[in-house]
Amino acid sequence: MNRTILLILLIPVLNSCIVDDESSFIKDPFDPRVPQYSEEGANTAGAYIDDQAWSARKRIISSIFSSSPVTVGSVSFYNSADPDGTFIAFEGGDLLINESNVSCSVGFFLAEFDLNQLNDLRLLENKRVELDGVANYGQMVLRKDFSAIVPENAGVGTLHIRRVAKIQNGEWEISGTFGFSIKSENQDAKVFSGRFDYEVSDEQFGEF
Amino acid sequence: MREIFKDLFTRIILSFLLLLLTSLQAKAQTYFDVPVQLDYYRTTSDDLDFSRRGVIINPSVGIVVAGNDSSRFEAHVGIGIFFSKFNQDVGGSKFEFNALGPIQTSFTGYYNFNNRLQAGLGLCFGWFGVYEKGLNINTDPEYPDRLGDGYKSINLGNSVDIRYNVDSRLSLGAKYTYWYLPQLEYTKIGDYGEFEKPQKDLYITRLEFSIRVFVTDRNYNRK
Repeated sequence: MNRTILLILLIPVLNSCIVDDESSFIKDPFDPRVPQYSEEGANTAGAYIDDQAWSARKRIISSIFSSSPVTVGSVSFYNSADPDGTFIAFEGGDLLINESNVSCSVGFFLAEFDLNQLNDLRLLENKRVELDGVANYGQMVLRKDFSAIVPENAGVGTLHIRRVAKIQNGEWEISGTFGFSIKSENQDAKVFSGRFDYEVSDEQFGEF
Repeated sequence: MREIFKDLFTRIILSFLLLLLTSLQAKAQTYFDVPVQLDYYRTTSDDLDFSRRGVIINPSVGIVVAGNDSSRFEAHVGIGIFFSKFNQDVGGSKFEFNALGPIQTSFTGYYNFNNRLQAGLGLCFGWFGVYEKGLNINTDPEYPDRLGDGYKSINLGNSVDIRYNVDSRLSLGAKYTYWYLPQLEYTKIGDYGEFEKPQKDLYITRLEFSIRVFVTDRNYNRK
C-alpha cells in the first residue's frame, strides 16, 4: 500500500521537466497573439497560418528522461546536398487552432545560398528572396519538425531578410519578414504576415 | 512597478498639497470629485474590437480658481490619476489592458444659469502607460516579455458638463469627454512580408456621473 502511494507521488516528479525560456516575447499591440517585428534577438517568430496565429519562442527543455536538453522554437540552418542549398527552419512553434496549440514548423529552402557557418549569414543581409516555388520555396509541417525537404510542397511568396548583425558575444542576430502560400496535391496552406528575430550561434548550423 | 507606484503616489500627494496651498492662499474653494467613469472605445479596424472593462470610480481633487458670488462665470482646475480599463478582441482571442498614469488634469469654465445649475466646457489632459493585465510569462531579466511599441502615453480632450448644486457643499454632475488622440499606432505586415502603411487607431470617449463635495461652503445664493 505504502509503495503504491509512493509511486503515485513519484509520477509527477518523474514526469517533470524544466523549461528555460530564452525568448523575449514582444507582443504585437495590433495582435498580441504574435510577436511584434523586432531587431534585438528576441528569439521569436510568428505568422498567420490559414488565418490562425502561429508563434515560436526559443525554449530549452530539460527532462530526466533525456540525456541532453532539447531546444525548441528556435531557428536552424541546415546545409543540404540534394537539393543543393540551405534550409532555414523555425521549428517547434505553436499554431493556435480552436483554443489549443498544435506544434507547427515553418521553413525556407534557398538554392542560391550556401550557409555553413555564422559568417555566411552576411550573405543574407538586406536580401529580398523571391520564393518562386522552384529554386527557393517555403515549407510548413504540422505536428512535427522537418525531417526532409519536400520540393513537392513548395510555397510561393517572399522572404525579406531585413537585418543581419554580429553582436558582442560572437553570436549573430537575424530578423526578417515573410509570407508564402502552398498549393500542391498534398497541401494547401497560406503562411502570411510572418516575422522573426533570432540570435544565432554555431550550434544552430547543421546538415540535412 | 513599485517605483512607478511610488512616483505616482508622490505626484498625487504633491499635487494635492499644491492645490490645497493655492486654495488657501487664493481663498479659493477646494473640492473632491467622486465620478463613476464609463469609457467607450472605438476602432477603425475591421480586424479589431475594443470594449470597456467594467466601471471605474476615479476620485480627483479640484479648486475653483476664479469666480465670485456675483459672477456668472467660474473656472475650475481638477487633478487626479488617469485610469482606464479595456479589452481587445482579435481573431477570437481576448486581451485585457489597463491604462494607468500619474496625471489627469482638467481646466473647466462654468456658466451659472442660476444659483443651482451650471454648465461647463473644459480641456483635459492625461498622462499614462498602457500595459497588459497579467503579462509576465517570462520573468528572466535577460529575456523579459513585454508589450510592443504602439500604445500612446498621452491624450488630450474636450469636455462638456452640467452640474446641479444640491446645497452649499454638494453638487451632482454629468460630464462627457471627447479624447482626440488615437491611442494605438501600428504597422501591419502584409501577406507576403512587406510593411504596410502605419495606421492610427483606438479613440476614446468618456461619460462620468459625479458627486462633488466642497471643503468650504459655497455661497451658492448667487444673485
